[in-house]
Order: sequence, then C-alpha cells, then structure tokens
Amino acid sequence: MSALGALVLTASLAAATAADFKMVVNSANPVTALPRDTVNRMFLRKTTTWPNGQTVAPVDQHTNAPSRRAFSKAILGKEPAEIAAYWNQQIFSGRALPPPAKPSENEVLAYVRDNPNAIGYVAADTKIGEGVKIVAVLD
Amino acid sequence: MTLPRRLRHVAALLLPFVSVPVVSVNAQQGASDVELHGFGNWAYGRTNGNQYLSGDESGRYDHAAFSVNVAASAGDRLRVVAQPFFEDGPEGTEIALDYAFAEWKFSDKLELRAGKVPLPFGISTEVFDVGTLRPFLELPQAVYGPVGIVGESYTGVGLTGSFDLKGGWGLAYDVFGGGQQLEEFFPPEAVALGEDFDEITRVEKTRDMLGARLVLATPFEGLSAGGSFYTGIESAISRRSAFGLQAEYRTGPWSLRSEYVHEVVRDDIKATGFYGEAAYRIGPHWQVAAQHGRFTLELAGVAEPAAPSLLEHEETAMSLNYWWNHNFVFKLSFHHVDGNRLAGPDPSELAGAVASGRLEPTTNLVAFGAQFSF
Repeated sequence: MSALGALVLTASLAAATAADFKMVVNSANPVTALPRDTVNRMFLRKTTTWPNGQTVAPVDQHTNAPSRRAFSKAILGKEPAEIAAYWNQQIFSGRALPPPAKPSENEVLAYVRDNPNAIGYVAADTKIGEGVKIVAVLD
Repeated sequence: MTLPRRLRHVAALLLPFVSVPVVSVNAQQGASDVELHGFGNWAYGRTNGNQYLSGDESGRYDHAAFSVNVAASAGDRLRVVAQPFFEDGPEGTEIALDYAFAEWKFSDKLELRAGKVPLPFGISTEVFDVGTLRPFLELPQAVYGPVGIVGESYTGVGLTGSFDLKGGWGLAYDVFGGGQQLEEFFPPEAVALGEDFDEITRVEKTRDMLGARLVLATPFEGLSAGGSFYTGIESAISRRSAFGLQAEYRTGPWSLRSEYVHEVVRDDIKATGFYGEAAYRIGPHWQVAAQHGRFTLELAGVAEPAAPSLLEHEETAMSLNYWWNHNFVFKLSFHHVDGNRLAGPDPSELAGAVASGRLEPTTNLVAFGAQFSF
C-alpha cells in the first residue's frame, strides 16, 4: 500500500471507528483490545481462533446496515461489493462461509451475549447492556 | 432423460439439501451447520459463421446452467462440501458432480482435504463456472477452454493453508495427489492428425498425480502472484505435466489478471496458453472489460498440419456489464477469434471443410447473458 493510501485509510479508520460503530465481545472474553488486522482476519475467516485456542465466532450485520458499510471500510478496507466477491470466491471454492448476518443490532448483541467466543459490531450509539463489553481496535 | 445409475444416486443423496430451506444453527461444539448456496447462468450467442462458445450462425438460446453448493460443518474442525452441476446445451442435458469432499482443519496453516476436491491450479479453476466472479460470460479460453490443460477437480488427498509473513506479505499453499479427468474438445486435433473421431469431447485421465500451487500476497493491497504445477501419468506410459504462472491486481474499481500455462504430454503434445484481462467498474453498476489470449498446440509427428489454424486460438474480446448487485449481472460481449482450435464448423463437417479448403479461420461472436449467485 502506498504511503498516501495508508494515510487515507488510517484517517478513514479513525473517523469510522469513533463515529460509526463499536466492536463487542462476550463479557467473559478476557480480550480488551485487538489489532485492526486481527479483527480483519477474524471476519474474513483467515484467523479462526482466539489466543486461548477457542474458535472465534464473528457475527455480521445485515447487508444494508449503515454500521456494516462503515465496518467494511474501516476494518476490512473494502467496499461491500469487494467483500461480496471475496465471499463468493471462498464459498464456491469450498473454502469458507461468511459470518452469519443478523437483521438487527439487538440480534447481534444477543448472539454475542449467548456465545463466549463471539465478536461483533454495533452502531456507536447502541446501548449494549449486560453480558457484552466493548473491545478497542488498535491501529 | 434417463440418468446413469451413479448420477441417480448422487441426485437422491443431495435432494434433501435442495428441497429444504437453509438451516443454520449457532456453531457450538459438536453441533451441525448446513448452508446452501448456488449459482447459474444463461447465454445467447450469434456468430458470423462458425460455432464458438454459446453461439452459432443462426443464434443459439439454449445454453443454461445451475449449480447447488451444500456445505455442512460438524464441530469446529470437520466440514463437508458438495457441489453438483446441471447444464443444458446443444448436446443435451448434463448432470455432473463438480466436487464433494471432507475437510479437517488442524489450524489456519494446515487443513486436510479428501474426496473430489476443486483443483488448485491458477486463478479460476476452483470457481470454474461462477459467472459473478469474472467480467466475461466465460473464462479466458486460451487457458481455461476445453484444450486439455486444466481440469476442475482432482480425486485424492490434499493439504492447504496460509501463512502471514513479515512486512505485509502472505503465502497460501496447496499440495495434492490423486487423479484427474480433463475434458478436451477433440475434433480439431483429430482432423489435424488425420484421424476419425466418435466423440466430440474426449476425456483424458491422469493418474498418480502430484501437484502444488503457491500464491504470494504482497504488501501492495490487492496484488498477488503465484505459480501452479502438476504431473501425472496419462494412458499407459505417457507423463502429462503442466505449470502455470498467475498475477492478479484487484482494488477498488480495477480488476487486472494475467496467466500463462504450458503443458507437455511426453511424445504426444506441447500446449501453451496465455491471456491478459482488464476490467473497470464505472459507478456501482456498470463495468467495461477487455481481454486478449492465445493458445497454441504442437502435435508429435505432425510438423505441418493440413490446416495450421486447427491448432491455434487467438482471441480479443470486450464486454459491457450491468451489475444489478454483486450477485446478479447482465453481460454483453464481442469476441474476435483467429484460429480453429475452439471455433469452427459443426464437428461433423470439419474434415470436409479442411479437405475442400473452405475452413474459415476467423470467427466473430456476439454474446449476451445473465449470471447470478446466492
């Protein structure tokens, strides 16, 4: 990636992370912060375990959710159409399936609350409640 | 149409997965997830004389295909994936098994696959018929056409995985062993050899096969390059070997690809194929694309064939596409072909056309089609 491209992506990431969404995990998960690249690899199924060896369970928002678009740009560094092409390649080559996509913020939170190994994201102004905590994304 | 017994068994086995809605249960230890996906296409083609891809001189509407992808997981380490394929064309209806295999995950760096597995060779063998993953209705024929270089799957055992390297580099690998079946459009080669042919499509079987693919992801976002190789025994004693090089750059609206392949069957043939392709998205829906490719074939014992065009294929193509979304696209393309390795008269008329000097070496094709996936 060029220096200018990295600068633009970093600026975009900072703006998107702060204003558009927040990463959440189960309260029992000892992780409090994750590098952006690690979150990227988890949601693209390139990294499938937590540091403790448990299988990570990423959960997505539905396709048209504003927080999904912001997450795709900030964490995955790609437009939704590029992500869709990536998953079609993975699915039809028999390599991997995309994370489940939940139709609402509440269902994402319920999924994370019910699964100790889950990681998801919700809109920045969403109230997360008990059983779920915010995890910081590090550049 | 009466299906062969083996295909009836395959269809019966897969019918429950096709006829029920998608079932997806939260992935817990020991639980099962089953997901259903698929893709399909239809194409119309018209040429200025010869037959090529979906087209002929009068215009052909009858090419359609559909495939179902069923993936099931049992626990965190075991996955089973199967993909049957259904195709209607001028030669009738074909039902085939693209692949069916089990995968055991040791780690992100090491996975074991066994069964009929997608062939890891080049950029597109594993997604051979998925139209929503390419800018043209068909893959570049100089490499992926029925010229007997690459197949869609192997039957055997393989290892696959990926590594992160320092400095933003990454490496994905595949190593496999077993056998494969290649489908080859045989009439041009038969006529060049002065032989009769009973079947239009000849199946070349390769056994005792070993192969590998390495793909390097670079620190430059979207740029990757790699190489593939396989070798095995064809028929009784001939060794078939092929290698390929690939490069791909995909970022934002741009998609650039190029591949080179070379194949040798000892004491039989040498074949070389190459293509370069560029595609550009204009806004969220429109896309333009261009492609150029060339394939050449040398036959042992045939220094100067009666019609050299029978062993050559050179193609320049352009496409204008409208993406309704990433899973549904209309494509309109124009193809100019020099050579008769893949484009020509009806196979039953080929030998007569060569003998009378009426073989037309140039073909123009206009094709329109729809492709979708879910």
